[in-house]
Amino acid sequence: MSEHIVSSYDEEIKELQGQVVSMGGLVEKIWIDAIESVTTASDEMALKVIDADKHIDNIELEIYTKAMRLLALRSPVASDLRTVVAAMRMATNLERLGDHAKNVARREKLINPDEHKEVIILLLRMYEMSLSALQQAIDAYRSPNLETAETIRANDAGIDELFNSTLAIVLKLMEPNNPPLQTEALASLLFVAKSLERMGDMTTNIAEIIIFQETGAFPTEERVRGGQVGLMESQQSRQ
Amino acid sequence: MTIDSKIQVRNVNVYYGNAQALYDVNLDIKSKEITSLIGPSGCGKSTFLRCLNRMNDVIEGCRVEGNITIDGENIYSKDKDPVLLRARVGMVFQKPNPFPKSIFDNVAYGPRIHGLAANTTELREIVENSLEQAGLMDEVKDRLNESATGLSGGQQQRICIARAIAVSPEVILMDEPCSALDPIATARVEELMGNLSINYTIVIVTHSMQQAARVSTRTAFFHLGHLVECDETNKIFTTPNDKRTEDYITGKVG
Ligand SMILES: Nc1ncnc2c1ncn2[C@@H]1O[C@H](COP(=O)(O)OP(=O)(O)O)[C@@H](O)[C@H]1O
Ligand SMILES: [Mg+2]
Repeated sequence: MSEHIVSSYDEEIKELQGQVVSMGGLVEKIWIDAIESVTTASDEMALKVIDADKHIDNIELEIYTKAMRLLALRSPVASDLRTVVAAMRMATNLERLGDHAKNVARREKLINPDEHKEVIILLLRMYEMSLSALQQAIDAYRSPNLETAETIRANDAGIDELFNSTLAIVLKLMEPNNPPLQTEALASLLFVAKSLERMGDMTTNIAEIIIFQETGAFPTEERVRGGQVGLMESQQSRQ
Repeated sequence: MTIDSKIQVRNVNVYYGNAQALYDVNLDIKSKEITSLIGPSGCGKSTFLRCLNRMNDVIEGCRVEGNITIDGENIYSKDKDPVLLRARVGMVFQKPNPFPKSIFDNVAYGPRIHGLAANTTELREIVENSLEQAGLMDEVKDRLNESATGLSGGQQQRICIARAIAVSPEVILMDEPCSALDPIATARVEELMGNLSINYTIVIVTHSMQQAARVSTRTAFFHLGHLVECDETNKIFTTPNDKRTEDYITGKVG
């Protein structure tokens, strides 16, 4: 990559990107903690997550302030402009990812990890896929990698499918004559599943932001949604 | 592409003595649109602009090769009169250069030498209409007989634009027309350019990329005498094709 004649400009852009990367690291961590708070029924961990989310919100504002400063004072164009716009979009997505982790932690008190094992197993599978995609996405942002970004986009359908399976099982478990507490626990599991599904979507957004930053293109190809489109069809439409 | 292109430039090479200033330039300039020429100092922007109204003819040792047509007519053909060409293709320079004469005489100069007015009433009409189009009429209507050199820099530049308009050109070339102006005067001239592009084809050289971005529909990037790329301004400033363009507009060194 070429260097700007004004070296402080390079530093400002690198600093902005660095801040996005470290925000990404915090988001990975907050999700690990949020799921752990549920699986270990740890109130303490859940509180820690809610606190960490506030910190992530503040970092979003810091990134916006820095990006606005760059836009106002440096008038970036071409790849510089895309980098700054991408950083802002990254910050927005990461902030929302943090919100969802917080939503999961808020459910911790209502979920007993020793009950509904079959649902929890599905949730953990969604979590593994979503977290691994998020980690790859942050890496692909740190050192831009279009191939990884495309793979992440393509894999989101798998997470959507797991969500649909979870939904089906939870609905089946919600018997009309269940005690209310039982139903609340199941609803909470469903909320967690929904947050994990959104986590996959936002990770896909990150992949698309990377593609935009590197190429200027806004990926338009409709993402294949698991469940709505059969697996066979979805594989065909990818070709 | 060729249908609405006003000016076609094909395989143009320009030399100053033995030194080559432009290399095989090909460009289509669209009618009634603003095209910006950008690029580092000495890359040949002014040289290129001067090709379009044969101002290079008057530069000692300058040789232009290739083909340039306006509305399909070869402007370098033997039977073309460069003086008439320059009435069709007007030019505004970097530093406002009004003559040390009255505001009226500055604008009336072209119509007079080209015999465009049959009488003084017509001449007055042309002058007033040109000042109007240059957005200057309100500011100078009470002092048309005062010296143009007493006006502010921005007003002087608009006098020069009025002077170019007065001979009813089809194309207006501007070589860094705002580089001596403050931001407000610059904004006025830029707004004026926007209005003029409804009726005229405008080609502007600018070292301000912000200006190119603000005023032009298309932008051409020159580098070391080569036309690197010409595309929609929005494309050039968001996703240029060529790395040299990218490096220049983002202020990078290779
Ligand atoms: N009148 C001239 N005589 C000799 N060389 C010239 C003349 N005008 C321009 N040049 C040379 O031609 C090249 C292009 O110059 P110019 O068209 O003025 O570039 P720009 O307008 O992009 O700054 C430069 O190398 C410059 O030195
Ligand atoms: Mg010049």
